[in-house]
Amino acid sequence: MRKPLGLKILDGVTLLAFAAAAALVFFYAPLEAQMGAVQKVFYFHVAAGWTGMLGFVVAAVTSALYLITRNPRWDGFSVSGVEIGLVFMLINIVSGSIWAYPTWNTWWTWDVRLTTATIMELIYLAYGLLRQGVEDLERRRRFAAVYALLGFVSVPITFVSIRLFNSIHPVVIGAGGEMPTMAFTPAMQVAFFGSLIAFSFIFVDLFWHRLLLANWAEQVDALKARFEDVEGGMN
Amino acid sequence: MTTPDTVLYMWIGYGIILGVMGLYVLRLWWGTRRLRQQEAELRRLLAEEDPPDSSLGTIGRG
Repeated sequence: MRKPLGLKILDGVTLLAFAAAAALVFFYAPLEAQMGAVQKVFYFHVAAGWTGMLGFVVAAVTSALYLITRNPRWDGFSVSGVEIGLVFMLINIVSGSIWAYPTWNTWWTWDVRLTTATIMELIYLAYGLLRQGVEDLERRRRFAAVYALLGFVSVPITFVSIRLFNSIHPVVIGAGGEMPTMAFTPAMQVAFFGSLIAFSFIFVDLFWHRLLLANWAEQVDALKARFEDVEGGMN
Repeated sequence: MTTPDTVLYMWIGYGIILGVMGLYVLRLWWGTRRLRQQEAELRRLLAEEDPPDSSLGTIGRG
């Protein structure tokens, strides 16, 4: 299977966007006065969280489409969305913990945001286990789609948790009311939105790659089935 | 907390971010490589067991 030209171009654009975002973070955004250099982790920490949640949103939408149409193509979209979502939420949680240590003086605290994000990650980890546990292909796809839709409830809960409950985690997007919020200088805003854009490109690029892989795996499975038929016919 | 400490944590943070992303790219590359090998092997076995003039000669192609 050959890589489409569009994907090759997207690879290049994504690399450039990522390099530009890294340059903004390290050379353009000023050092935060209180937290120092570790605050720079924040830019990719939030962008990774955004990418992870984007993966789960795509998984939920395409799972619904699968249940409506029963087109296996949507199942491939859903698997890809969950997989990328898991990777980036893991990055989000671990980088958050590293940022927390010099800032909060602890690697981990059962704060509402950290707890809901961890539960969300575990819910989607179980999605993979569920898929492995069901033999029949059609049933596997159906169960996984229903599970991805139910699991999606954890995504908005994680997003709004710091706005609804007392939390030491700062509110980044939108007004936080009485909750702690991040104060940005204009240069920090540029680095922040630059990172979000770069990670959005990374998401689309990885998603496309993962979809190609899923489609290719299906073709190889079909080849295997045909080979077994041929072998069975000869015996 | 002194500045050198926060610099260290910044690098640990970015090391993990880039490391995990790199591992995922590697997983995609490895998956592609494995599928390419499997496909080539299956096509070779099919060609051996299924001569080109048989009705099953174009299985899996296209």
